[in-house]
Amino acid sequence: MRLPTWLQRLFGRNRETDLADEIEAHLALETQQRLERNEPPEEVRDRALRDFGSIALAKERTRDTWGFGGFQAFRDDLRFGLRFFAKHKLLTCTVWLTLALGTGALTAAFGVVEAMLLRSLPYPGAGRLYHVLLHPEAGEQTGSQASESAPSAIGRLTRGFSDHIRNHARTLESVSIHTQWMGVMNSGGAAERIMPALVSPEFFSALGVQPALGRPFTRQEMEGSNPRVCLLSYEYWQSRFGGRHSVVGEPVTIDGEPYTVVGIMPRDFRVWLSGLTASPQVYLPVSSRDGQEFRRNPAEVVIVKLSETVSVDAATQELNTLLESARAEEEDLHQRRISHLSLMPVADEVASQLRPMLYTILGLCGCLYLIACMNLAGLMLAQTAARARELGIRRALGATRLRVAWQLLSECVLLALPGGVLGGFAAIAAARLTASLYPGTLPRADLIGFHPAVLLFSITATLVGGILVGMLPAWRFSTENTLAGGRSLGSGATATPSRGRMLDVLVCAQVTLAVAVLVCSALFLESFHELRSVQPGYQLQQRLTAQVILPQASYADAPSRARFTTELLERLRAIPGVQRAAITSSIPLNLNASYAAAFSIPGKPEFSDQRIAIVFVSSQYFEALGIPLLSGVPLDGEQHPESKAAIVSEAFARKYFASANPVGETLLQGTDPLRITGVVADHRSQWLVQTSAPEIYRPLLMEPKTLLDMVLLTGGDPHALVPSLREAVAAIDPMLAVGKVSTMEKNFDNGVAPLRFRALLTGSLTAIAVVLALLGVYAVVAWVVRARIPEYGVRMALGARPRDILAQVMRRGIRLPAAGVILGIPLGYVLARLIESELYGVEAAHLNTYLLVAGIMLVVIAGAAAIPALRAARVSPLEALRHE
Amino acid sequence: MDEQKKHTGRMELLQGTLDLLILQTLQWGPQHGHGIANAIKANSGELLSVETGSLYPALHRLEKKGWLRSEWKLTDNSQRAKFYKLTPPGKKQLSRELSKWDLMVQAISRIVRPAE
Repeated sequence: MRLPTWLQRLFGRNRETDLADEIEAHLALETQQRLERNEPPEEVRDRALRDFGSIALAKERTRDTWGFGGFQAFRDDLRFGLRFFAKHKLLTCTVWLTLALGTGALTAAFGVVEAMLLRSLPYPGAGRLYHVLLHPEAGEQTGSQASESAPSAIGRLTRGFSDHIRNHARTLESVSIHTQWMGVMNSGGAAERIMPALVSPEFFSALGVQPALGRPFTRQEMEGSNPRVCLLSYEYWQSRFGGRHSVVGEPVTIDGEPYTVVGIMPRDFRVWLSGLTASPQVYLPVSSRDGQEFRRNPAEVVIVKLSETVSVDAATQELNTLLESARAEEEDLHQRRISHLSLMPVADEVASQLRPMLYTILGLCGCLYLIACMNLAGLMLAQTAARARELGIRRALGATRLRVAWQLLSECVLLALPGGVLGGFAAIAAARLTASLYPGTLPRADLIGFHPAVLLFSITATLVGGILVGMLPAWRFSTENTLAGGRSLGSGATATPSRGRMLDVLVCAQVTLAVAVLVCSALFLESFHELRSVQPGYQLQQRLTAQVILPQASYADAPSRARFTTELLERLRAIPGVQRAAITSSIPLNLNASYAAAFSIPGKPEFSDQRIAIVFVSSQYFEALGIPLLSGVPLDGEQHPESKAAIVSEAFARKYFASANPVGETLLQGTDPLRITGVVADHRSQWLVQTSAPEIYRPLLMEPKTLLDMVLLTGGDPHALVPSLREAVAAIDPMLAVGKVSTMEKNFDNGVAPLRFRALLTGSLTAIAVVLALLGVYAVVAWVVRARIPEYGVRMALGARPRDILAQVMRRGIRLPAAGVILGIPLGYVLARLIESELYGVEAAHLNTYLLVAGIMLVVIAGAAAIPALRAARVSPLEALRHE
Repeated sequence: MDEQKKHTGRMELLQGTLDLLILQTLQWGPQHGHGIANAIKANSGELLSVETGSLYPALHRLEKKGWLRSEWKLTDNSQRAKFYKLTPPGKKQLSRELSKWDLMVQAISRIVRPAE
C-alpha cells in the first residue's frame, strides 16, 4: 500500500536518505553500464562519479525543489545549526539566562498590571458598575477620603442624597452605598477588633453575589425596627465560629449589641471596591450606624449599576438632574458644595493611585527586556564569525540567502524558548512574592497568576525576543557574499567593518536605554530621600500610640463618653514612665474619619461659610506630640474646660488673619462663637506628602467621640507601656479592645514605606539593566581586541608603545558608548517627565541628577572598556603574531 | 550532418525543455533517472547529454507537481532503483507541452528561416 509521501516522512522514511539512495543507485547503474562497456574495472567508479558531477550540488538543488515549506528541510537545517550551540554550552547558557531575565521581568510586570489594572472585576455585570464622583465648586474641599498622594475625587454622599437618587433614578438598576467601619466582636471568644463593611441591601445584587448560606438582608429589614442583622465572611465564619451551620439565625454581639446572623458569604469572595477592605469579616446594614448626624454628613461611597442598554452619558445626566432637585429639596450644605457629578467605572478606581507606578515598572522592565535582547543580538553577531565557514560553504553551494537567514533566525527563536519558558514561570512567582512584600495592601494582588493573557504575553515576548536577537546575524549573513564569509575564517575572525559598526550601534543603544532608566531610578531614590527627611512638624521618638473604639450601644450619649475619656486620661497619666498622655479624635497619619464644619469670621465677609477641618484633642495633646505652641495658651485641663476655646494652626492664621495674631479673635461655627486661644505650628496631620491646610483644634470633652486615639510620651521604650495601657482600658470597661498599638516612629515609617519599596524595586531593576549594558560594552570591546591582536602585535613590533595601543583601544571602545550616554540623557528627561507625578520634592529637570548619572556611567563604561584594553596593551608582539 | 556533429557535447537546455524531454521519455513506460538520461542521450542522436545535476531536481520537481509518480523497484539486473512513471495529469501536461513546443518552433522558424 502506498502511503502519501508526507506520511511516509512522518514514519521515518527520510527524504534525505531517499535522495541519497537514489543517487547511489544512479551511480551503481552507471558503473554497471561502464563495466559492460569493458571499461577498466578499477576506474569505473571514479569515472561514474566524475560523470555525475557534483553530488552535493545536485542534492542541494533537489532540496530546493522540495520547497521552502518543507518541514523536513527546516528540521534538518535546524538540527545542523543547533549542533553549534550544543558545542558552545557557555554561550547557550548565557543566552538562556539573559532571555529568562528579560522576558521574566517583563512578564512579571505584565502579570501584575494585568491582575490589578486590566482584568475586569470578578462580578457579573461588572462593566456596568460605576462610582459617583463629586466635582467640588472651585476652591472647595469635599472632605473626602484621600489616598497616598492626592485626594481622590470619589466622594461620599449624604444618606439623604443617596436615598433621593435611589428613589428617583430611572436609568439605574441599583444604587448601593457602603463604608468601612471598625468594631469589636464579642461573641465566639475574646473581644476582637473587626473591620465590618457597612452596606446597603443593594450591595449584594449590584455585585451579583449570593450568600453561600442564608440570605442577604432586605431593605425592609434595614428600614424597619430591627436593623440588627449581619452576614459573616466565609473565612471568619470558619475561624471564629468553627464553621457551624447553627450560627445562622443565632445572635452575635458586636460592639455590645446583639445582631442576628442571617447568612454566610461565599468562600473566597473579595470586595474589590474603593472604600472597603478586601475581606471584611462581617457585613452590617448601613443603618446600624444611624442618626441625624450620619444623615447629614457625607459618609458613604455610592456605587451605581447602570441598567442594561443605558449609556453612561444618559445616567450622568440624570444624576446631575437629581442633584439639582436635591438641592432644591433639602437644606443641605453638602450638596451646595458640589458643582456636578460624574461617573467612573469601578474597575478604574481600584488601584488607580497605583496605576502610574505600575506602568512605570512595566516600562522599566520593557527597557530591561530590550537591553537583554540587544545584548544577546550582539553576542550572536560576534559568534557568527565562528560559524562563517559553515555558512559560507552552504551559500557557495547554492543555498538561498533566504534559507540561511531563516535557519539562523529559527535557531535563535528555538534558543529563546527554554529561556522564555523558564522566565515566564519564574516571573509569576517573583511577581507574587514582590507583591506580598509591598508594605500596605495592594488591591487585587491575589489575582496575580498565570492567566491566559499572561501566558500569551509570555510566549509573544519570548518569540519577539528570539526574533530580535536572531535578526541581526540572519540579516548579516543573508547579505554577506560568500567570499567574505570564507575569508573571515582562517584569518582569526577579522572584524569586517560593517559587523563592527553594527555591534557599536547595538552597544550605543543599550547604553542609551540604561542611562535613561538610571535617570528615572535616581529620581525615585532622591524622591524617597526627600520624603524621609521631611519634617512632619511633630516629634517621633518615644511616643506610643493606640486606639480604642467605644461601642455605640453602651456609650450612646455624650456624658458617658466624656466620663470614659476623663477616666482614661487619669489612668494613662498615672502609668509610671508616662510623661504626657493625650487623647484625640485622630492622631496624625492615622487617617481616621476627619471632621469638618462650616465656619465664618465675623467682620470678614469674604470668609463666610468656610469648610475647615477640626481635630478634637484633650489637654497635653500638643506637648505629647511635640508640636510647639506659637502663641496663646494650651487647652485647659479637663477640670475646667473652656467650652468656647479653639486653637488654630499656623496655616489658619496665615489664611484668615494674614500677619495679625489671631489670639483673642472670635470664630463662628454656624452661629456659635468660639474664641481663639492659641496658635500651633503647622504639621502633617493627614498625609506626609500634603502641605498643611488650616486646622482647628477643639477640646475633646466638648464633643466626645467614640473613636479615640491615644498618644503617650515616655522617657524610655514606648513598648514597655503597652501592658499598662491595656490594663488601664480594661479597668474601665473590660468589653473594649485596644487596637493599632504602635509608635509614632512606626506610623511615620509606614507612611514612607511604600515609597521606599518603590525606590528599592526600581533601583534593583535598574541595576540589572545597567549591569547588562555594561556586560555588552565589555563583550564588544573584548571581541574587537581579540580580533585585532595580530594587528597590535605588528604595531608593537614596529615600535608602538603599549600606552598607544591602550589609548587607541580605549578611544575606540568608549566612543560610541559615550555617545549613548549623551543620547540617554535627553531620553531620560523625557521619561522623567512621564513619571513626574510620582516624584516628591524632586523635579524632572533636576540637573544634579543628570550630571551624576552621566558621570557614573562614563566612569563605569571606561572601566568596562579598560579591562580588555589593558590586556591588549600587554600583548607581546611575538605571541600576537603567532596568534594568527 | 556536419553542422549537427559540431554541436556534439553538452548543450544548454532551457528548464522547460528538460521537463518536456523527461515527460516524453517516460511516455514509453516507467524508467529510473539513469535510464532517462541514457534515453535522452540515445534518442537525440548523442546530441543531448543531460547534466545529472539538473536531472534529479527536475524529476523531483515534476513529481511534486503531480505529473510523475515514483516507486522503488528492481531493474532487470536486480538492482534497486527509483522508477518514475507518468501520471494521467502528466500525460495531459505532456500534450500541452508538445503543442507549446510546436508553436515555439514555428514561431522561431518564421523568424530565422523565413523562406522555408
